[in-house]
Amino acid sequence: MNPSEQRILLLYKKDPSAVFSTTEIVRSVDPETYESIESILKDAHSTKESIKKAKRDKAKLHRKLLYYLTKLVKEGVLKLVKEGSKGEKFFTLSLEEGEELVVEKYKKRQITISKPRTPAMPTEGYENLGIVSKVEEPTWIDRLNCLFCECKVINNVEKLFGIINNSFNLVNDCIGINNFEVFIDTSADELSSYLNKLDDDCRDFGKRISFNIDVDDVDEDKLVSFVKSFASNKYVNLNIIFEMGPKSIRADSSLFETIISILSQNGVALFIKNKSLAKSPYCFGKGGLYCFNGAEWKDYSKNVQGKVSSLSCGQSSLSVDVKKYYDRYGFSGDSFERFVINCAESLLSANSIHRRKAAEFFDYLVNLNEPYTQQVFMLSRNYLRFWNYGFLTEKFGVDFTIDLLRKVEEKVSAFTFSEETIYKSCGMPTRFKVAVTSSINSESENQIVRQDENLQSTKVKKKLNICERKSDVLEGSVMVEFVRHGILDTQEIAREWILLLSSYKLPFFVYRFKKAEGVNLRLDAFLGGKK
Amino acid sequence: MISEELTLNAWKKSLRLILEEGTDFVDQNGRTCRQLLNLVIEIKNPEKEVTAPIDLLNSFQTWSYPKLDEIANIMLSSKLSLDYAYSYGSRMFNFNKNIDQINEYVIPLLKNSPSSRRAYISLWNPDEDTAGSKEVPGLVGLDFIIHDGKLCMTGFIRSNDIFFGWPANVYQLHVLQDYISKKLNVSVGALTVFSVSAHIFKDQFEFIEKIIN
Repeated sequence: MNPSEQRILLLYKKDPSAVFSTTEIVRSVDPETYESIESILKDAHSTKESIKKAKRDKAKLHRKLLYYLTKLVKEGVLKLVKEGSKGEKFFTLSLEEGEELVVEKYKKRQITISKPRTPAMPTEGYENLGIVSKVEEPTWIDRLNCLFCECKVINNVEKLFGIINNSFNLVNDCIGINNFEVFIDTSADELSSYLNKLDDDCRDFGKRISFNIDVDDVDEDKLVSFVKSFASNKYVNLNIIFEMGPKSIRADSSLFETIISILSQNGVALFIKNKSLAKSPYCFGKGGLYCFNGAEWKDYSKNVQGKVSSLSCGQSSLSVDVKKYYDRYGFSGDSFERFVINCAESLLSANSIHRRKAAEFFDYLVNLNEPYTQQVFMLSRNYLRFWNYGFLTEKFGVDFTIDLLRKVEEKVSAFTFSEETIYKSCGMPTRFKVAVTSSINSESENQIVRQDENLQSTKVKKKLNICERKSDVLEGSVMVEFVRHGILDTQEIAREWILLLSSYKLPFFVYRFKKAEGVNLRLDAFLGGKK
Repeated sequence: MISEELTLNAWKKSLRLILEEGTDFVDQNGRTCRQLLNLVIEIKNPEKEVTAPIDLLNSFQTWSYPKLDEIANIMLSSKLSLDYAYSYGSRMFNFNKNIDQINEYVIPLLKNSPSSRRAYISLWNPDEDTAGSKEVPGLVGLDFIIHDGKLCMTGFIRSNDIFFGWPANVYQLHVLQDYISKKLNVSVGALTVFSVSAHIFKDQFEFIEKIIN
């Protein structure tokens, strides 16, 4: 083996999970030559001729290393992971977790490189049975589920979309954008061009983006213009979450009638966060809804907000098929509670890896948020999501379901508190929180209010009350879905919203407009979104 | 003062002492603690079975104790992980982001002057720790002295959960003691932990009874 190849492999031996750029490899493999070239290039007194020569030498050095890097790629030892904006190549070991690579002997030395294995987790048996599944398993331990961007800190629309783009490598489910209203002033064409590209990228990389907009803090005409443009493009992976309270609609219902009209005609879902109940922004991902703990968000808003550009919201998630668990084990004794603690232990293991590898996995976040890097994870949580549990209410009644969810939440909270205490007492003050929440991809979890159902009817009131109770236990992660189609009466829907926002404790709900055939919109609202 | 050859015996004796002679009080989180002030525990041979208390804690399977590599890493890594409020390693090897107290002070000092009694370092940073931060370090100071040709080390812990924290603290201190003794080319001597508030929590009593009996 060539000495250069050997030095490259020794670099990866130190950190088998690392991704190195060609420059980093050159600097590490031949530090003396690299430094001497750099010193000439940086020296203000260097002659034009010596700079020219140094540039040639640098290119030669890169070419030489690239020859060996390409050779190692061909031999299946390394793999090319990406190419940077200036054509710089990035390499990593072509090794799976737990695999070992023994490279031929060189001067009687044998290089063995191994990649750390994901530790055994006390839910693996349940995973084999399909009862538990890791959300986004291939990147379960090296990416975050959900990240939030703070528009008021980023304060530049180009920079925001750059950060979103760079964050794709860090996130495996979704990205939430907080206070997007600050960019509503941007020209519709410019925003459309960013959003069109973003939707395409989201499709390619399997991501979703939620734009939280505070409707009380935005110019109405600009909001309407943005919504029109957004709706006409029919984005698949992007959605708007309108933050509003009952007062927002009472103050100007025509704005909302216009928005309803635009979105319904384009078949775009309308997500609403009741901001009088939930202060935290929301994000809608494949795994379900993500948000921050209300009390912690309040503390963050008071003491930290305005300092960090991005915040980790969801670290790792497990989904539990409650029906499958019940069919196999039932709910005798405290077996379900013990099983849930096993799930929390698995999340703790994932957290431990996140911590140890944070600098490597999330170096972009570190650099982006300097000097407030310690605040990036200050609100982060793991998610334990229940799925397929609608049968509980049918079989045992709603009180049983609520009671079970509450007990589980209490057990998990006690476990996380105990673990945080242990880690703290060991001189390792870390955060470990698990949000017990609901999956939202199955009808049995969500309460659906159909087209023919009136909000004032006893049946719907009962549905909404169940949802309120579930939402109370599951930290607002239960989503009520309203399906509306046919000829829509926008005034009627706006009245429904006032009722939902003022009379029910539902932090989050969605209106889906299936096959909207037309709208009955007042002319003044249609013309300008003004009263 | 408790002085024992092995870590496990020292731990069991200190738990019994607090359980039998400690005074109860309620801490700021509303948890009932039993506390002894200024407890000094000496381990004469920390090289032998230093992880025995951690192994015993792991045998309960009621909680998930941090892994040994993570406990050691927190002591030896100068980098502060994104996810920790503070870390002992960064306080020692990169204090205030510019002082390596171990490699640039303790080791050269004891190398050049083995009889020095100035090899003391502080992990308490007034800039950060008196500014109302939620988390401040428990281990606040370390003293190193070469006695009888061996590196003896004393750790000063202001607030010490003897049941959950002390086993990891002792392991961390030993990892550092081992690192420095190798650099100095001397043997490992006694390891002493001075705990200002040595306490246990009421909800741990049932497990403590099992351990000491």
